[in-house]
Amino acid sequence: VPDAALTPLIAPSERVRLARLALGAASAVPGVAGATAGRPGVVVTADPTAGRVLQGVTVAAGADGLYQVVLRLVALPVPLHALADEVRRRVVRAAAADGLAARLGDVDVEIADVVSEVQADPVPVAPAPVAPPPVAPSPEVTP
Amino acid sequence: MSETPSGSTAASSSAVATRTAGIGPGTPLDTGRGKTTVADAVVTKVAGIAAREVRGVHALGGGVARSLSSVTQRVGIGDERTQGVSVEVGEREAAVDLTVVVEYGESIPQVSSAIRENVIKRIEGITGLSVTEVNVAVNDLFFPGDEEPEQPARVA
Repeated sequence: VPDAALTPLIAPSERVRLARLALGAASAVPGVAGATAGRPGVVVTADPTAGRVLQGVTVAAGADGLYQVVLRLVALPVPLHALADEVRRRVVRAAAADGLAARLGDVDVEIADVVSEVQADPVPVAPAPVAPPPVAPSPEVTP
Repeated sequence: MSETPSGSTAASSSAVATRTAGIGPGTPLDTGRGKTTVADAVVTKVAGIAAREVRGVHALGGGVARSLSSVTQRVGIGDERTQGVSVEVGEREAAVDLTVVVEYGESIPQVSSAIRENVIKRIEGITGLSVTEVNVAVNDLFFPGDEEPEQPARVA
């Protein structure tokens, strides 16, 4: 099988790449507990090349040709403006590392909620092991 | 601000005038490379957590609010940390109203003063907002024997 057949047919757009790196950079900042799409679930970006939806980030192209990034985050109880500044710095740095600095516009950070500790995603319940059926005693064969 | 006989704190007229200025949906702060917005729910939750940290505070919210909250929490839509808390958030300022139940034996003026200090410290430290007022209404006293006995389990 040639390698080309394994690569995605459509490369991710700049918009999707920015959404991915912004979400990744924000999630790595200490004090950020996660990202949320909000109650109506509208702060999302579709990532069709990966077959998923990125929750808590939108990227929109402006008239100036720059992409405006909006991150909707859940934070730990830390100074929030300093946290947002650090998120912004890391997004800018990540965009530069990916060659997208010239396309990055404003990075808006919305702190939607605070939690006292990082709430892990619920662990999926593993199916209960199925016990082997009891072996019926073989009838004794009498000669 | 002055204490009223019922234990609540009334705001001065100048503080009220400050409070109604600049009220908006969030608290945007433009940094030149993007805005930072803190949702009102964040301020509400921080105020609730800060009030509960004070010794002598048994619970937040009135009787109806607490009953309703226990029902909403059971169905997973309520949050105990926001009951009894009402905030008004402007661009740079916030005003907080709290309804609390104080433990019997504690000094209500001291407890409300400690609540006020802690709420201001936490909100200003976490959100960067300036707190113009914290109104504390004590609507009940909690006696140690008041808690409802736990129902014994009907099944082992």
